[in-house]
Amino acid sequence: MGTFSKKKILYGSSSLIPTMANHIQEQFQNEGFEVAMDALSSGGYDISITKGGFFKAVLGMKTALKVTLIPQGCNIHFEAGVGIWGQQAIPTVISMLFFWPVLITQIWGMVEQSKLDDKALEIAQDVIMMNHHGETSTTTSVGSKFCTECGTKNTETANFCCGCGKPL
Amino acid sequence: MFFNEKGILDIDEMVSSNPSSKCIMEDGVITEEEIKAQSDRVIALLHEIEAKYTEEQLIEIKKLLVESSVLYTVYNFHSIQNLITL
Repeated sequence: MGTFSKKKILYGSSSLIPTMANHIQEQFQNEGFEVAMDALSSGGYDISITKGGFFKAVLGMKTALKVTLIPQGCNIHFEAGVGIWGQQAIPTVISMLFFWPVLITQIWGMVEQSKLDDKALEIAQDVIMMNHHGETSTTTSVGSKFCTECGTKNTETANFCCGCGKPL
Repeated sequence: MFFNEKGILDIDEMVSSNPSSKCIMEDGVITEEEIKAQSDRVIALLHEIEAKYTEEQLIEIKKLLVESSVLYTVYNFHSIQNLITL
């Protein structure tokens, strides 16, 4: 866990990023948060989540929980931190105030206390789980199984893998 | 004095209500002259404080200034470091 941000690699296809972003938006909106999403050129998403009375406004700008989902190889880089509403979290050089680091550390403490970062992470992980279950059920419905040794697709009735010969 | 009712540093409120800040930000454009003038105000204040306070008090003020400056410096270094690794 970071000191003022949470970073995690999610082992799932980067094609799931838009779905994750939509789920995060939907679930936080349902709980009365204001949510804004920006699609990034990298294929990632930058999500701002805020609520009046919870996040402090700094010099007239709303602070927010910033969630970024970025493709990293075959996986997804998840990051949650504190930033300014609507501004992209990356680049992160936001230092309009001399005491900006103190403010974000304090606001991040409140985010962690309310477990908002954990909530966003759970939603993202749920999307991966749901997708995994979807894939499993599709595989079963077409009557095939995969070898746990080499990953080759075999018919449901096969006792040995047609790719490596190991028992299935 | 420094923190709001939630215990969060109220520095931005102090900045936005500060007369120098109001004057500089009034037209939404910040010029080099305005930065120079603000820098001169800070130096003048430091001279004023140096002449006014006891050595013990000055040590406390100096400690705060230095620790804050260290934080500001390392935070910006950290941000640049993150940009390079992206």
